[in-house]
Amino acid sequence: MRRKYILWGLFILFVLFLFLVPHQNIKLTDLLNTCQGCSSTHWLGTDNLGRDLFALMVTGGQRTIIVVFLATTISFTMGSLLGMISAYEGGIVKTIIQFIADFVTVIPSLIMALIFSALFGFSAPMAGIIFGIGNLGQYINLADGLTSEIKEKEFISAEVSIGLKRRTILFLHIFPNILKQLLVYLGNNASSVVLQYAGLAFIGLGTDVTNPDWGTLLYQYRGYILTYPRMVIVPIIAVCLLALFFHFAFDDGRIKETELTIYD
Amino acid sequence: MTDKRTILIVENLNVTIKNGVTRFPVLKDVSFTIREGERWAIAGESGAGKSMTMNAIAGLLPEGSTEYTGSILFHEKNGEWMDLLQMPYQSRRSFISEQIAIIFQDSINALNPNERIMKQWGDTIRLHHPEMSNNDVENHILDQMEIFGVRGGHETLHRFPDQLSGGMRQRIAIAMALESEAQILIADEPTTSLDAITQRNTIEFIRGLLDRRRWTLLFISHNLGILQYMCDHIIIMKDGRIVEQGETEELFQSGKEEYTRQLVSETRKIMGDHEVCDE
Repeated sequence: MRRKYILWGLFILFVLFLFLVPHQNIKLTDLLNTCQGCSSTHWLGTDNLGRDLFALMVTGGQRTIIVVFLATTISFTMGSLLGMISAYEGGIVKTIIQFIADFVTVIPSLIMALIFSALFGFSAPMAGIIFGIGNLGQYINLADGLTSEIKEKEFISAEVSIGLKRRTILFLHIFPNILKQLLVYLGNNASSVVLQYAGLAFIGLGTDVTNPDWGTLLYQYRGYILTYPRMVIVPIIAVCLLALFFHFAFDDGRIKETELTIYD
Repeated sequence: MTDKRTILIVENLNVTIKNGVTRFPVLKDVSFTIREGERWAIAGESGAGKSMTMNAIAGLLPEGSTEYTGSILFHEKNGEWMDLLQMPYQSRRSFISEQIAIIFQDSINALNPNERIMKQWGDTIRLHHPEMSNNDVENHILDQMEIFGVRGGHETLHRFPDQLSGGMRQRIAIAMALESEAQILIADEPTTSLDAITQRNTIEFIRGLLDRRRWTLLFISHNLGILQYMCDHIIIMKDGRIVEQGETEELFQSGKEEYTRQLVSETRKIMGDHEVCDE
């Protein structure tokens, strides 16, 4: 449990740092000082155009956090809600929700990204929305399966028999019982969103190359991997650390600290 | 006997479960009448339709995939008759929750594993008595703990179900089920998963409660010994149909149907004569 608190504390500090730390103008080039090493003026050095790499990384991090936040919020809230309703109501409601789940699952995120970027441009919030919708189906299927299992349990029948309202049972009694598994999936999903976004930015899918996404930076600096490896390693480490963080932060592998059983 | 008020009439009840295009009849032409204060048993081998009958009366079958014909008439305290099958599902459920208390087959697992005992027991009380303050609810729970033999006071109340022993969990589940001002108590094989001593204690406990509260009982079990000890009337079921019904002693001594006689004789072989016939 303590590990989880430490991880989340660090993550909150990291997000606050990303959004509050003052940094240099990311569009300011300095051709006299290109590919400089780390210094007190440029904490992570400069890139091939003399831009401050720290400022670029911070801006890229902000954009990545926005994407992850939007994607996971959309898919987690909508997917869990629809999945639970589908399993609990059954019948035609389940059929409609399952159709939505199948529909969004079969369209690859890449194709959806292409369509949306053509229609609305590929901004960070738009990427978040695309990933959110793209991952909706998996959350629906997961929540549906978990709810179907829980609703057969004796304690749910007991709650129905004492007259608890349907929405109370669904949101206050079923949801907390499937939340753990949903959160573990959320961690994996958030982690894969970080990688997916970096991947899409790397191949330049609709994104404006002047936006310093971590994937875009990797693409731009790939030619310097042997001469100035720092420029490539820094975005790689950032992507890996953030992806790893989401894996660990939501992983519920800990053993429950059960107190002593009271016997009569 | 005859001046007792009739409380529940089940008339020609047929229940069919639908699964896609498959239709599976689970209850066929089930009819019986229960009067106030009577203790009825439903017996039969596994798959006979005992629990299905309980679920149909208690409205616990999945609404979208269940078809009913016949009627389940319930006599309210104000003298009105209500046909449960004619009521919309939600109204039926809320009506039944006020009129029928249920002890489940696996009552050890009838508590929400992710909520503390205090929270779930308190919520159940507030559902039936919304006028009670938090203090009253807590005092009421502590009083009930005394009555139901749940030890540990506040410490027990702040535990999760899996931190309590099976017997305690079961008594808490029963206590919660009995919070409503119900007229009928349905117990669906409440002792199946228990050891012999806890089984005996639970049976004595339910019997004591019935004596004190003068409730009407519908007890479901395949254990004829327990049923004979608990109930004055019995329904024998097989393959979703009622084979025979009547007073327990009469059926045990001189059942008219071959199946009833066979069931009693098999039970005697396993449990011994005295356990089946003597209280």
